Amino acid sequence: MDTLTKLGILADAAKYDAACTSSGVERPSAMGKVGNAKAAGCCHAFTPDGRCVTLLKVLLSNACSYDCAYCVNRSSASCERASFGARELAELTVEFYKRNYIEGLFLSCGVLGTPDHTCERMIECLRILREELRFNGYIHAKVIPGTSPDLVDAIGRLADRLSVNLELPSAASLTQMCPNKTREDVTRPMAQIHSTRAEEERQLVPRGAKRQSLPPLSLAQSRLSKGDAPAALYTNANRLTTRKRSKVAANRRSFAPAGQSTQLIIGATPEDDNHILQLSSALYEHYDLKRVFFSAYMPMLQDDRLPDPGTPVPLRREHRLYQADWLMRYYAFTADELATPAEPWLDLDVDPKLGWALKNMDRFPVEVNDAPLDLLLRVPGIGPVGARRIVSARRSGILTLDDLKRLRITLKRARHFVTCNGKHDASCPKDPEVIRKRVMEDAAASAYNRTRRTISQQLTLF
Amino acid sequence: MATLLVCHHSLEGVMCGIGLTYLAHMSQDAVRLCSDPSTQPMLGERTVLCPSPQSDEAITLAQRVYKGVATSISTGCSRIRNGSCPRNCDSACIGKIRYACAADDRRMPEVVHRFACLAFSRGPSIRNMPTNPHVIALDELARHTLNECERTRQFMRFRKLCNGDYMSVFEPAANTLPFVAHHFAERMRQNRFCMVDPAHNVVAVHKSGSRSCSLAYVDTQLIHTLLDERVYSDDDAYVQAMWKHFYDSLALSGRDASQRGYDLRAHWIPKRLWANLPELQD
Repeated sequence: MDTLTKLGILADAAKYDAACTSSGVERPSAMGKVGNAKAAGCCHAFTPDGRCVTLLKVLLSNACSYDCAYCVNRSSASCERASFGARELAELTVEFYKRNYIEGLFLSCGVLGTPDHTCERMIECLRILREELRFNGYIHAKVIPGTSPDLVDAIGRLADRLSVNLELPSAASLTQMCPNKTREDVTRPMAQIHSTRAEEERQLVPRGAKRQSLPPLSLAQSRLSKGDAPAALYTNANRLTTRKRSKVAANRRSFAPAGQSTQLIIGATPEDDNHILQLSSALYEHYDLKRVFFSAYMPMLQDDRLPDPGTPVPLRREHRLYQADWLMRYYAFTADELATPAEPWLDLDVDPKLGWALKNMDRFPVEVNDAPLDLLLRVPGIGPVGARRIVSARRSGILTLDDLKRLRITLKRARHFVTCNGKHDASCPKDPEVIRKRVMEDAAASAYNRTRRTISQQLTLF
Repeated sequence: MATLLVCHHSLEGVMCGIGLTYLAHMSQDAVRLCSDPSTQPMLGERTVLCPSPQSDEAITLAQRVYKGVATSISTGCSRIRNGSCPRNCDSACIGKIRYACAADDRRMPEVVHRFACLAFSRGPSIRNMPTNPHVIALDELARHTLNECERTRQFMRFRKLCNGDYMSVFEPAANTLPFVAHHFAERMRQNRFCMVDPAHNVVAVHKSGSRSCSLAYVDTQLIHTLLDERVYSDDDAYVQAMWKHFYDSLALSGRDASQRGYDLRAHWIPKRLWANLPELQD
């Protein structure tokens, strides 16, 4: 089987993994080495559904010996099997990189007998890539649940980011769907990655120096007020996260410098959005994850444990969960504010930030000329960059609605919730239900919803 | 008398033009800058051509004006260290003039002219005027160029030549090669490569091991010669085919345009760039 054919099979097998970033580490070029890594990453292509293509995302082999019910590569599936040679894949990565197709490699693998044997094969490929071909670009490696600690450590010295996919949001679902995996198999490597990174940080921070955290929003606010430099036109939004940040720069680390991430499958099992958001929040907190990715389940398999093959892909739900995840990381929302135990599902018709605002109208309107940064961030239509622009701009004078428009604030949404020098936009309703109705009418007119209605009507006819 | 001053569409050309208006003691309201010689003057307006920005006098004047604007804007800024601005302020302050001058927009000369006049008259307080129309106009041009620089980094594709060098042809909507050449020099430090921008007649050449590229503005004939004499390596077509095959394998049914009502690719990749991308060829 030639490389072209293998590539098609193994890329197809890996595409259900949603992780799509090449960010998190800044590594300059070096003499004798190929490439570098940029903290913001770079998307080199986009699929028709808008997914970013930044890495060569493939399985080393899809000859998996596990039988997870949701997986197209499970041992009982009748798909075509293929395996890359370690050097073959490493050389392909470098060829693609030099042509500016990719920023690096995303490497996963079906379980080849045992997790340890699988990991050894992956390590061999990464070792050739790093040490023989001198590749200095980005590598994201999957850790197979159940891998031994010494192999997790070895692969972490070769990759920039590691991930252990939870896939299923509860231990009960895991037991039902994955007879070969236990919860311990998944969480132990995650805990090891976290503790190894924490230990390295302790060794790298100078003795006596305080471990720096990203200041809370109120301190960020005071820095903005004192500063006299204008806001940059191009902001790396990754730097605006409200989560704690380490004093140790990623490029000083030798173990997984870009941290770890995980993935949850949405729609294959019955867990609600509140459960998923609570789980995400706990993962960020306990394992210091960089990202939790959500992958909408695509029903292609006939199995009593899974939704029927004709079930629509929950794209909108996946989108709302990503929006909620973003609110937790950049806007300091908590999981319970977005989906409560009493109302555990995110509203599919309106985004979570607007949904929260409509339920908390007593917090509005917000006066843009004196509101603190954390309150500005709660206004629908004002994002982390826009909020900082407002704080910067109001130093030079009273802002009006026209000024907000010039600052590229999404006024179509924000004007319902703000005042400028005490003045509310007279054309905007104040009743939450009227605002909700107007926003939903706007959403219903979107191209996406028009198409969904057309498709639904066609299904009804047949 | 009202004057239409025609200058070269570049940072040097516009700075030289602005310098001439001050040397001639022209009222700001009586002069407007443009770069297109075919621009129709308004009633009562005379047309004056700026000298070529390649002359030593023009370059000296342009440098003087640029430095004057930079000093006006940055005076008193707490981020300056040893007389230099930090790199992460590059597009926030004086750097955005360079980005704005690289935009292909025909309004650029007058936009930069108005911003420079505002900077000279208001000094460092311009930093806190993000809603001023002249500042907004300049920011828009600069942001356009920055976005185009990012697209150049994303979508420039290289091909391997028969002698082992790499070559890329890319036509951005702004003169981005001077800004992104360093990025590729860092990325492909060990390789010899050449980047050609036929839209702006710019060529960037990199020698193996160097940390930077050499840039040259060339004529159209040389561009055609470079493009016509390309001979690709034997395996280049196969690598392109593998990339396309990989890309085609990523499609997920149930998430495509028929389910969404639109193709999200066009949102992220302008269609004018699709011809450059092997993964989007039939």
